[in-house]
Order: sequence, then structure tokens, then C-alpha cells
Amino acid sequence: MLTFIVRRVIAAFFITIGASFIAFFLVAHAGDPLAKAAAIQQPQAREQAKLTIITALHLDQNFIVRFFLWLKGVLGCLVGQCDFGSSITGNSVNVDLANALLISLRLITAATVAAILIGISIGIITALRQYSGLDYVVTFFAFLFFSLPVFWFGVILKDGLGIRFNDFLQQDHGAFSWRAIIIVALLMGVIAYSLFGGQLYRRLITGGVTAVVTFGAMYYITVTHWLLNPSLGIVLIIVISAAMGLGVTVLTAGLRNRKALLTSMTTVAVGAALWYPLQYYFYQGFTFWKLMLLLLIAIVVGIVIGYLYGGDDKGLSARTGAITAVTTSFIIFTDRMMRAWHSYVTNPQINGRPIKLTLPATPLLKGDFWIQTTDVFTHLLLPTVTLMLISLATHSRFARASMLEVLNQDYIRTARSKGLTERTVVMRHAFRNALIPLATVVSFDIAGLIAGAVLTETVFGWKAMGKLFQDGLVQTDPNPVMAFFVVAAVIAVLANLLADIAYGALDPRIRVK
Amino acid sequence: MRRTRVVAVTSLIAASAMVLAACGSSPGQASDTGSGSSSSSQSQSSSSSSGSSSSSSSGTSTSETKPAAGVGEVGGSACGKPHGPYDQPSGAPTGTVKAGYNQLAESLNNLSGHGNSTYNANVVYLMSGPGLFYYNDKNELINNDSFGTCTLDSLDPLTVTYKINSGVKWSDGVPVTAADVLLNWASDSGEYNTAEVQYDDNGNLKPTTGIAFDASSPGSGFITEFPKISDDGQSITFTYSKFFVDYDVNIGVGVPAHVVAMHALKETDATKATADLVKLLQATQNKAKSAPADQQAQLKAVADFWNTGFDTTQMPSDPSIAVGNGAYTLTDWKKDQYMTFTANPDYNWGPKPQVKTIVWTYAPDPTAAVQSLQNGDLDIINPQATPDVKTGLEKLADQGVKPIAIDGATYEHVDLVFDNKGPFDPATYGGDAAKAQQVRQAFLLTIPRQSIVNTLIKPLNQNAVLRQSFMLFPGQPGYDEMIKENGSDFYTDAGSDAAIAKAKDLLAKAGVKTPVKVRLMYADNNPRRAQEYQLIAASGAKAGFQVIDGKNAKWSSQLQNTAIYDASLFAWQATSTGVGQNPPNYLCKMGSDDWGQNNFGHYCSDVVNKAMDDLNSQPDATKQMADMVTAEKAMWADGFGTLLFQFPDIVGYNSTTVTGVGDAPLSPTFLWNYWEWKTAS
Repeated sequence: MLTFIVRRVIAAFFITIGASFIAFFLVAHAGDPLAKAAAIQQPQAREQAKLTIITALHLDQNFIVRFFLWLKGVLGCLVGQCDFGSSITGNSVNVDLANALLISLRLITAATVAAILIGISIGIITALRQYSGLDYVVTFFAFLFFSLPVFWFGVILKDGLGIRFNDFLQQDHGAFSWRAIIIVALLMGVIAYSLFGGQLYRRLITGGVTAVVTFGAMYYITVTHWLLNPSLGIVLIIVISAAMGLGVTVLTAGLRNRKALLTSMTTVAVGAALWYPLQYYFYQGFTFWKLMLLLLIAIVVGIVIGYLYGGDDKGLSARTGAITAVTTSFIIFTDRMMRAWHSYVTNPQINGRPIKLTLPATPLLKGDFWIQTTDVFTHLLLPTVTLMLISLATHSRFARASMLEVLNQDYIRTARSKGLTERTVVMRHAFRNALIPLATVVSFDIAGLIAGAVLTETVFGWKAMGKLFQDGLVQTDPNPVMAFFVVAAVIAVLANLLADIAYGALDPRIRVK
Repeated sequence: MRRTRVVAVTSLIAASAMVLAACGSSPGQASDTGSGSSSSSQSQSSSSSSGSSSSSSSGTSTSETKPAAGVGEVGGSACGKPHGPYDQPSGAPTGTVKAGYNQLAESLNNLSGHGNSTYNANVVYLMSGPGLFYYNDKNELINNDSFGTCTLDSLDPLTVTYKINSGVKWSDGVPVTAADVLLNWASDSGEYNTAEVQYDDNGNLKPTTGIAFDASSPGSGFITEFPKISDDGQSITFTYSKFFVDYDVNIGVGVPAHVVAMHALKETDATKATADLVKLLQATQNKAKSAPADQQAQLKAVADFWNTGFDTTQMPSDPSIAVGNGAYTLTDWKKDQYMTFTANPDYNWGPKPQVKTIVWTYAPDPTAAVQSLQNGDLDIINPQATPDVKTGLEKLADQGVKPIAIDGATYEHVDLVFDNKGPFDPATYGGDAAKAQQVRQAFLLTIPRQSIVNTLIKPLNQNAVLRQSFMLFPGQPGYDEMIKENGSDFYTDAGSDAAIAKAKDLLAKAGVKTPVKVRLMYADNNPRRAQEYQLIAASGAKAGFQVIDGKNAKWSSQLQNTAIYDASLFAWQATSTGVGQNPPNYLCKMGSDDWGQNNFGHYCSDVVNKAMDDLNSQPDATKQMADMVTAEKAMWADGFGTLLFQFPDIVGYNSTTVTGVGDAPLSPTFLWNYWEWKTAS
């Protein structure tokens, strides 16, 4: 395995250099960097401007020499002395790159995670309900989103989810009209109806209950203006956490596994008991790292609870406990975020219009961790949804196809004929194997998202990797373009490598010797 | 400060620059991201290219309005019309205004060659504006006499005295003095350079072995005698060795001399450091190479710091870098996101602002900018002018959003080539100049100027007008008078049936064989120019011209290569209204290759030469105007080329949150009167 990785890394290194050379060649010949300087009327100024650019970009050298000069700086990264050169205006590309990379990661992380989770879930569910109404509807929307151009979709989303939602909060104080309540309730009912399997009677009940619950929730939201001052409260926290705990148990161990169920419920109970004291901890000087620490503690607690219940299947219980701990923590975190919402919305810098259309943060906004985090979310919401919906299609279609293929395998039939429950067959035998080909898709998608966010960044006013590339190209400024290229290439190569390794780990049939 | 200085420089420049960038993108955007650096600061009479680069000057003082030189009149014409006391607002500034622009700054010194761009000039104008002088929206040069005055002591030799009022301070409390003016002159006079600017292997501007300020200005180069500084240190007198026509915008206050001095000379006391800097400059003027080694080392440190010390793309860790002398101070700067400016409470040497905080936000996408305005995230936007932006802003009228559309400072024009053996070259007709002239006139008569304006520009700016003067832009003082006299009316209806008939007559008279082939070169990545070409070609065909599509990716560098085209379609950007910008466009010297730098088509006329030569040395505004009229008459009659339109500039603002917003053709466009902005309660 080690030899394999080493071999791959060495190959990747030379591939990247070769590709860089081609890219450098193309960028160097993409236009005339001196064109602007040449247009200056005053001769003295023109020569000075030309000289500045010529020396900055080494235009007096052959482009092969320039490539190696550039390569020398970039290879410095290997010894911790990166130098990506300077842009046409004389700024260090290092600074720009570092900043752009951070912003890019912030922009695409949430979108990627959400797209993978939601996309795979949708794919699995539609595979299980192949050729049902749900399957067709989901497929239709997946392809619709996939084919939408970002610059258009982003604008529409900003108008609908941004400006109109803000109007809704500001002018209607978050009150739904009766018509909206009824339509949404019915819609949710229909979705629930098609989502669940089983007898018609059972599905009708599910749909009906969902519609009634939705109706009630929306009515409650309307009369209490909940959207302006939301919170869950301990009762809802317990109810939702318990429901999620049950769901986790169903998926991992099944409700028949008493120990797992008990672990899950105990974890929820611990979370609920800690809710009140945690509010004090949240109040002052809270930071991101404290949040991560809490999450870690929660996971450990979940695992410990699982082990304490003991039994033959301690590991399974512990896993159930850990996942439940994460979901419960998430609910408690959400509740706390909601409590910050009101002061966020009424902040003078926000002025009652919380959903932000551009930039990664609100200028002049002052506030604690919760306010700042809310601000990050309100800015991330629209670009994340845009990026997510667009890559959703790929993930869901791949997951669906992969799942269908696996479900038709002989070993699935064997598993069923052994008398295993459908849950075990789907979750243990089918789902895991269906994930193997997704390793490739997902890893490439991450690399692609960094490169592919150019339009999203422009539309949402984020200056990240995509913009670095685009501006560089427009101004025939090779160094930023090459910096972008190197980062994208390295990520692509790494992702590829990781995918290969993951393949070996996941699929015993193709393990490398 | 810098801005002022810039203005000065700029105006020298007079620039009209080609808007490269603009060509690529859409119309007229004063602020194009792509535009990079151009050097107007250094150049005199140059234009900066690419669009926006000009420094901050906004309007112009045209020759016309330049008050006839009031020699000896204190605070006279030497840097614009004195404004007099301002009506100061009562009460402290309040509220926040969020303005969006397509690029934040890259340097807080916009006077260096690489720092000279609109996006730097905007920020510098907020920090150090309006300074000693500025342009108003009528393109008049205004001297902010609360800051200082300029006196024209004598015309022969040209002598100008600048006096900074006492009490004018930098934002760190250090007074603004003659030393700041001195440094402004020293940096681009070339009197202290011993070497060219150099860069390291990676292209970073590097400390050179020699001394080199990254700036140059012929105007300042004419001052070869060390300026006299008064005993109180507030006045400084410059004597030019040669007359310089745009002297009124040549020198101002640039970067803070004490900051440069303290960093370069490694001193901690501002007053002493500044005094040492002045002494150093005096000792080494024009003998930097022969100065003692320690002085050379010091001078080098000064030049190096001046060049790069103010370059930053985020809040500088050293607060002295962000020192300004204007109405606002830079209080926060988040890289690639926004900058915030807070009103300087001590500021009383100029119009006081009424808004406490200005947030200068990165807003690169025009549609996104309109949506941000709609969502209340921005109060003022200045996006690239597109039909979508215009309709978008109009749809927001019920929210109180008001659009301002004006003719910007960039103009589109067609130039003909006179010496490439093409259809417009007398050599083609055996040296028959009259014949070539008739063909030129006929071609220019077929260009449907008004319909180009109507179809392509009016949808963006309903007030757009056809430009009728080569040297003055619509709205510039003297423009109306100019177009009455310059003979442009012959081409006003170009493209109409009557004009086509006239063109046919001319072609018949010339006796040339039709179709006459004309290769029209323009930028290949500009859809609007492609549309202009279509209109010109269709109209030309009616009179017997076959206009060949000459779109070219490298058009700007190919302008010199007249063998490949007969007519070119591109834009110049004015960065000031100084008159010194005109001669390079139209001058030629017979019998040599000494063409005006921008006279790509090699047009040559004795009348124009004489007028341009006189213009370069003419201190009298009325006579300057007469020179320009004379030249233009000849140019229109000779068929030099034709003019189309000014690029539109669009500003949108939310009148329910901010009032008093205006716009001006030249950089810093809509910022020019930021002290009149007021938040609505």
C-alpha cells in the first residue's frame, strides 16, 4: 500500500508540473499584458508603465525561462517558502491566494457537505422507490437544478429567498397568509405520502398527519411571529432529539436492539438535562473551539453510554450513542442560535433584513459568537443553496444508480432469503457497497467546486479562488491564474489519490498489493 | 494630498486614454476592474489607459474656465477657482452610508506608477479629499482655500507659490506643511533618481541599488531649481525653467512627508524627521549620484518607502500608513470585502461631511449591486452601465431608488489612416490630396452617428448626446461654443439619406471606383463595438463603401500598425480637462517620424501643428480656446475622423436612506461631493 501511495504521489508530482507548463503556456499566450500600458498617451508614462509590467512579469525573458522562474518560487512550497510571484499591479499573489483559499473553503465546505448528505439520501430513497411518483418528481427537479445556469439561478434565489423573505419578515412580520399555510400543508402531506412505503392506508395516515402537523406549525409560527423571535424550548428539544435518536437507532441497529435504543434515549436525556446549565456556558466568551470541544465531549459521552450498557454488541450501541449525541448537540446548538436571532435581526446594521445577498460578513456588525455565527450563516445561506442544488443532481443520480445496481446483486437476494430484515439488507448490505463508486465522484466534486465557483462568487460578491482566476485571466495576469491552477491541480490530484486509497479500503476485491 | 496631487498630475495629463478594459466590458464604466494601472500620475499629458486609471481628478479646468492668469493675485488661478468658505452643516456627522464599488484599493499612494488607478484614487479621495483642489460636477477646478492657496507669482518664468493654511493637520495630528508639497514635487520630478525602478526575480518591486521614485511628470521635471520654503514652513514657491501649460494641476499635497521621513530616516519625532527630509532633498537635488554615500542611502530609503510603503490590500498593521488629511479616516479594512471610513472630528479645513461612517463595499457584479441596493445592503452603487442595471434601478423607484445617468469621461471615436496606401491616403490617388479628402469626407458622412447613439447608448442614458468636439467633452466649459464654430455640423446628420446622397456625390466627384474597401479595426471582445460596426457597414454600403470587419484581439498594440487597417474604432478616457493632453493626439512634424504619440493615423496639418504648438505654451485661456477651435476646424474639414458618444456612467442610490448624491464625469465620479451626502432619518 505504501509503495502504491509513494508511486502515485511521485507520478502526481510530475503530472502537476507538466500540466502547469501547459497552463503557463496557455496563460502566457492568452493576451497581451502590455496592452493597457501601450494605450497610455504620454510617452514617458507609457514607457514607465511598460517597464513596470515587463520587469514584474519577466516579459523580457523567454516564456520557458519565465516558467522555470515561476516554478522555482512555487517549488519553494516544499521547503516552506512558497512564492507565487506578484500580480500585474505588484501585489504579492501569496497574500491573495491565502485569503482567497480561506474564503473559498468557507464558501464550499457547507455546500459540499450538504450536497453529499442530501444528494446521497435522495439517491438512496429514490432507488428504493424506483419508478414511483416520488422518483419521477425528484429526478425532474434534480435535472432542472443541474441544468440551471448559476448566474441566473443565483439572481432568482437572491430575489426569492433573499429580498422577498426579508420583505416577508420586515413587512409581514413573518405571518403566513391562510392560502400559504394551506398550500404548504397539503404539499408536505403529499411529499410525506410518497416518501413512506407500505400499505395505502398507512401512507394516507402518514400524509394526513404530516399535513396537519405542518398546518399547526405554520399557524403557530404566524400567530406568535416565531420567525422574528424563534426558539425551541426544552420540550421541543426533547421531542425532536428523541425522534432523531429513534431515527438513528432505526438506521443503525433497529428498534429491536434494546441496548442500542436505551443508549440512544439515555444520550438524549443527558443532553436535555445539560441544556439548562449549558446556556450559562454559552453566554460568555463562547468560541468556535469551545463548540468543537463540546461536540467532542458529547461524542465521548455517547460512546461511554453505549459501552456502559454493555452486551454483545457494545460497539454498535456506542456508535448509536455517538451519532445520537451529535444530533442532540445539533438540536441544542440550533436552539441557542435561534435565541440569538432576534437580537441579530434587530441589530442596526441588519435593520430587520437578515438574509444577506453578498459578501461573507456584515461590515460594522458588533456582537458575540452567536451573533457573528448567525451573520456567517445568513451570508452563506444563498451561495450554499445555489452550489448545493447544482451538485445535488450528480450525487443523487450516482447514488441512485449505484444503489439500484447493488440491490440487483446476488448477495442481496441471498441476504433477503436468509430472512434478514429489510433494514439490515438496505443499510448493511446494499448501502455500504453502493457508496464505493461514490468515493470517486465525491472527491472529484470537491476539487471541481473550488474551480467551479467562479460564477457563484461573482454573483454573490465573494472574492475567492474563482475570482482570483477570472480577474487574472481578464487582465492577462499569469501569476494569479497559475496560483489558482496549482491549488486546483494539487487538490484534484490529492482527491484522486484519496479516492484510490478509499477504494482499496472499501472494496476488498480491488485491494492493492 | 495625494489626491490633490493626483489631480494635478492628471490634469496635466489631460488625458484621454484608451479604454481598453472598457472595450472588453460594457460600456462605459468609469470604474472598470480590469483597468489597471495607468499612470496618469506620472505622465503629463498622457492619458491613462485602460479606462479608469486616472487618478482622482474629476473634472477639469478647461482652458476656458481657467481664469485668465491672475499674476500676483493671492489665491488666484494657480490651482483652480477659490471656493471661499463652505456652508458648514450644523451638528456632528451622523449615520452610515454603504457604497458599493467594483474594486477596493491596492495602494494608499495613488501617485506612484503602479498605484495609479481609479480604485485607489477613490479611497485616497475619501481619506485625503478634497485637499488643495478638486473638480466639481461642472468640471471646474476648485481650489479649496480653507486648506491652502496657490498664487501665480509670474508667468515668465512661470512661478507658483503654494501656501498651506495653519491648522491643517494630518489625521495623526501632525500639521500639513510645505514639506508635503515638496515631497510631491520631488517624487516625480526625476531630480532624485539615479536608477530605474527594479524588481526581484518574483516581480516584487525591490529596493534598488540606486534611487528611483516610481513616478514621473514632465511638468515637475521643468522645475529644476530647488523650491523656496518660507520661514514658517507653510509656503513653498516653485519656479519653472520652461512654461508648462497645465501648471494649475501639476503639484499638490500627496502622501504625508512626515510618515515617509519617519520610516525612511528611522526617526520618531515627526517634526525633526520632516525637517531632516527637507534638508536631505535640498542637499541632494539633481546630484543624487554624486552625493555622499550616507545621503544616497537615506534618499534611497525615502524613494523605496514612497514607492511601496503605502501598498496594502488590508488594514495596515502600522496605522501611520493610513494617515490622511481629509474628511474621513480609514478605520477598518477587510481584504476583498469592505473598508470603513469614519468622519475625522478635527477636520475643519474644507467642507465638513454630514455622514459619520462610510462603508466602501466590494460589489463586482452589476446585477448583484442592484439587488443589494434593493435589499438595503447598499445605499449607493456605481455599477457598470448595462440595460439591465438601468431597468433594474427604474423598477425600484417605488422604494425610493433614484438613478443618475450621465455622460462619462470616456468617448468612442473613429480615426482614419492617412499614410497606409489605403482609401484615405492621397498616395493611393497619385498624391491627389483633394481626392483623398473627398473620400474621407464621404466615408465619415456615411457613419450613422446619431443612430448609433440612439440605439446603443440612449437605452443606458436617455440624456446621451452626440459628441461633436475632439478636444472638449459635452458639459465641459466651452463645449457649446466650440461646436458652434468647429465645423462639426457638416457631419451632424451623418448616416441620414441626405448625408448618404452627399457622400455619393463626393465619391462621384472624386471619381473613385466603388465599392471602396475600408478595413475597420476594433476590439474583438466588445459586443457593442461589433454592433457599431454592423451599423457603420450597413450605412456605408448605401453610399458605395464596403466596410470590412477588422475585429482584432490585439487591437491596442496594433494601432501603430496602420498597414492592417484604414479606420479604427476605439475610446479615449479623459482624466482631466487640462489642455496639454491634446497635442500628442494630433501633432505631426513633417518630414520626420516624430508623430504625436497618439496620432496613429499619421494625420498631418500645418494649421493643427501651429495651433497645438501654441497651445503648449499659451497661458491665456481665451487664446488656448482659440487655438483649439482653429485646430478642430481644420480637423473636421480634413476628415481626420469622427466622434460618437461618451460612455454612460450610472449611479443608483436609495433616497430614503441617503440624499445629496451626485455624479461627475471624471474620477472620483460620484464621490466628488461626499460631504453633501446626508443620511435620511
